[in-house]
Formats: sequence, structure tokens, C-alpha cells
Amino acid sequence: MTESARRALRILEVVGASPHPISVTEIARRLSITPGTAFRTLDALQRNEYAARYQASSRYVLGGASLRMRQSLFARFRIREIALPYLHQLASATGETTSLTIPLGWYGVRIAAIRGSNEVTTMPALGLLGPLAAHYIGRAILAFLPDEDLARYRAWSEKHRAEQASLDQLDTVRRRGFSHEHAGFEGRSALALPIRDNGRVIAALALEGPILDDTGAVAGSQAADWRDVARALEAAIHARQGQCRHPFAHLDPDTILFGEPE
Amino acid sequence: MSIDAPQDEPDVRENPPRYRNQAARRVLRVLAAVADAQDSFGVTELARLLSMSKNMVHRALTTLADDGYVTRDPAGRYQIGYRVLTLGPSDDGEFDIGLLSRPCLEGLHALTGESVYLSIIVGGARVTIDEILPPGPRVLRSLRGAPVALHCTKMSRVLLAHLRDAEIEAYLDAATPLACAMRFPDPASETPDGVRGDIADIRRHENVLWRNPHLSSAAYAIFPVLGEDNRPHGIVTVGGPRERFDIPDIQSRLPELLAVLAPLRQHARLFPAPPLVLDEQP
Repeated sequence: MTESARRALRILEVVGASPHPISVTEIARRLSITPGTAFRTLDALQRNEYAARYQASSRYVLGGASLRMRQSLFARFRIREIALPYLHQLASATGETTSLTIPLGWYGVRIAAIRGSNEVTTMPALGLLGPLAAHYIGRAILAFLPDEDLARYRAWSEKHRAEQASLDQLDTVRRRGFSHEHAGFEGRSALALPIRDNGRVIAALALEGPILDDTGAVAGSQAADWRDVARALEAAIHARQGQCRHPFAHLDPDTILFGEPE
Repeated sequence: MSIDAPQDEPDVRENPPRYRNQAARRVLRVLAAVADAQDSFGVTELARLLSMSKNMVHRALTTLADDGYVTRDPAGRYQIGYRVLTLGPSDDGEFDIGLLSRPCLEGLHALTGESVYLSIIVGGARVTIDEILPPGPRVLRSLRGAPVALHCTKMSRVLLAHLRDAEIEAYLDAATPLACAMRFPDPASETPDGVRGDIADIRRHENVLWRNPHLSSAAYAIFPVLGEDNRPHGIVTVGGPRERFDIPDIQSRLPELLAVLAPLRQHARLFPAPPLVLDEQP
């Protein structure tokens, strides 16, 4: 059972990760299997609606069952439904896209986003962002972890060759109270704020547009507004204690890996 | 044959691999059942649900758990796993009242030429998150993005009125003593009974046509947008100076306004409205 089932899951991952509808030949080449084997497995995936042919062509995309599975996973993060009105408020007040990212093991996962109303805006996809140090949003979480967790992240990232953050970098984030990163507009940066519950960082609230200048400088009153919304969100999460439980909080973060399963 | 089709594809089609991938199919069925459920599963429940033997289900779950497609919750039951995230980033979107309402706001503004607002509940407050304002004389409600307590103003109370009774009482408990930072008198805001009375009045109508007696120059039509649970996603408000947008004018144009609102209201009914989340200071 294991081999054919595992092959089906690997094929699903290749189809899901492909930026375009993918052919049987390409799937077979990537997984070093024969095209016939790939085709037979795709047939099983298609019959269960995990994969679908793209517009009746010989190329494949994810099917309805895969999309439902992903939505089902996001729905398990109850913090999403608490946060969405606050993301709306912030997106409306700033015109920029806002999002909520949670830690999962030592990775950051964007679980909610509301599109900004500015003429030029982004709509970031929901899903995995990568190791916490790899992205300014993840660093807004990483910088505020307790020292022992930071040490564990460092050991884990060394072992798995994941991105690391320097102490200086994290100190700057802590001192400012937010992290920022160039946002694709000349001289302008996006920012992410930590969201805490009972003193522990549980998420990051991001304004994913050119809201700051690249030095991280902000207009004082604006900075206060963002922080006010972040504090209001923290109060709302605190008021719903127990209902925002992270569905994977009980797992050892060192065991959560998104590379090839070992 | 397409250049992408492998040489053996036609043969496989002629002889469907009914047996060769049965094991994979069993695993995929188990995964679908775990993913579709709201709660976690035990092996016995899952076996019964799928009419499979406990042994088969256990082996399928072990395979899926090894790869992180299912995980055990703290009680040892199986739930959907984090590895689902490796199926690529998702841009299939979520219910976004702001995005979905925009065409409706534009339609109402084109029809009336008046100010149009979309407001939602954030914490214990109404927040206007989108608006279209006409040039020249117009009504100007609370600032976009600024919170207004749910008991203050008719617009706020329309949102409040469509919450469940227990939510309204929880709000009033948390908000008492009721305070309003409005620049004009708003008697219905001043006591819990006043708010309850206005809520009863609002609930008698599907939509609220309203003229502020203290700001006698403006009139409004307030349209709740409700979710599948009959609770509010938000309100859409059209307001204008009474010389050109008074209650009789609104009433005569109501069928046209409702026709513009219909697609949004229909779409919103497919999704549950967000929960009311109160902290100590609504």
C-alpha cells in the first residue's frame, strides 16, 4: 500500500507546486518514474478528484478535492475568523493589503489576507511563506520568541540549512516593535507587527504594501494607528481564549518539515 | 496525440488500471474523509464511515501520518495535517465582503448619485471600510476606518439588531454605561432599554429608511447584508441631502436599489458572518 500511496501524494505535490498545468511526461521526469506509472497514478488521483485535466488537455492541475482539503486546513485556524474584520479595517484605513501569518513549527504560514484598495496593490496567496527568518513577516514572529525557542530555531535552521536571522537584525525588530522589508516600490517598505496572547507571540499582522520608507521610518500618528489595530486584535483573541487554539501547537516544531519526507 | 502525452497513455486508457492503484485510492479516500470533517476521527469511526476494515484504515492513516497529511490531535484522534500546505499556495480566495461589495456600491452610486458606504462590525464597533462619495453637496458619515460604538447611530444599531439576542445583551453588558462621542443627540443610544426599543423597531423592517431628526437635511437607506446564519456581514448605506434623496424618493426607487443589492445579498448568504468578539471596552 505504502509505495503506490506515497507516489500518489508526491505526484499531487508536484502538480500543486507547478506554476502551470503540468504534463504526465514532466511529472514522470521530476519524480524519476516512468510516464506509464505517472499516468496510472494520475488516473487514481483524477477519479478521487484530487487532480483534474486542464481544459480537457493532457496537462493536469489540482482538482476540487485538493482545493477543499486546503480550505479545510485553513478553517481549522479559528484565529482567522477573529482577525478578518481587523484586517478589513486596516486595509480600508491604509489602502494596502493586510494579512495574518501564524507560526507552524519553524515556518510562517499566511492564513488570511484582505486586498487593499489602492490602485496598485498585491493579493498575496495563502499558504506557506518558508522558514521564519526567510521573510520579514516571519521575522516579526521570530524576533519576539523566548530565547530558548530562538536557540532551537537556530539549531533547526543549521541542521536543515534553512534561513537564519542575525542577532542584530532581530534586535532591530524588537527595538522598533515591527519588521519591514523593501516592498517593490522605490524607497518604500512593507511592515509586519507581532500579535501576542498572554505575552507570547502567536501571529504577525502585516501591511503588505509600501507603507514605510526603507529605513523603517514611519509617520508617528500612522504608526500608532497600526499598533492600535494590532492591540485591538490581541484583545479580541484574548477574549476568545481557548477558541483560537493552534491545531498543531502540541507537535514538536523540530518535527515539522516541508521538504521531502524523511 | 498531444506532444505531452506519453507513449503508453492510449494503452492505459483502453485498459483502465482498476486494480493496480486500489491501495492508493483507499489512502486517498481516507484522506478526503479526514479533510472533509469538521472534527477529528478515530480509526473505528472512519472505518464505519468508509465501509473499510479497521486494519485498512489504520494502514492508510499510518501512511498519511508518516508524511504529515494527517496528524494526531492531543487526544490521539486523526485530523487533517499541515503537509496539505505543500499543495502550492492558494489564491482561490476567501469571502471578502469589501471586494464583493464594490460592484454593488458602484451600482448604487451610479443609480442614485449619492454617498454609498459599506460598514462592518470590528470588535464592538461599526467601521466603514469602503465608500463612494459624490462631488458637491453630500452627506458625510463617520470617517472611513474609524470605529463608532454599535449602540450609537442608526447605522450601528442596524448592525447590532441583526446579531443574536444573546450577542446583543453581551454587547450591552460590556458597553454599559453607554457612552456616545457623537456631536448630535441620539436618544436611542443613551440607555440599554432605548437601544433594545430601537432594535425591536429596526427588526420590523427588512431595510431601514431613516431621516435623522437632528440633522434634518439628510436621509438614508440602510441595507443589511446577512450571512447563512442570518447574522450580519455588514450594512450598505445610501445617503443624500433631503432636497434630492428624501424618504418618499427612496421608497419609490427601492425596487431598483434592491435589484442592485440582490447579487451581493445572495452571495453573502452562502457564508457565515464573522463572530462578535468583545473585549472589555467595546
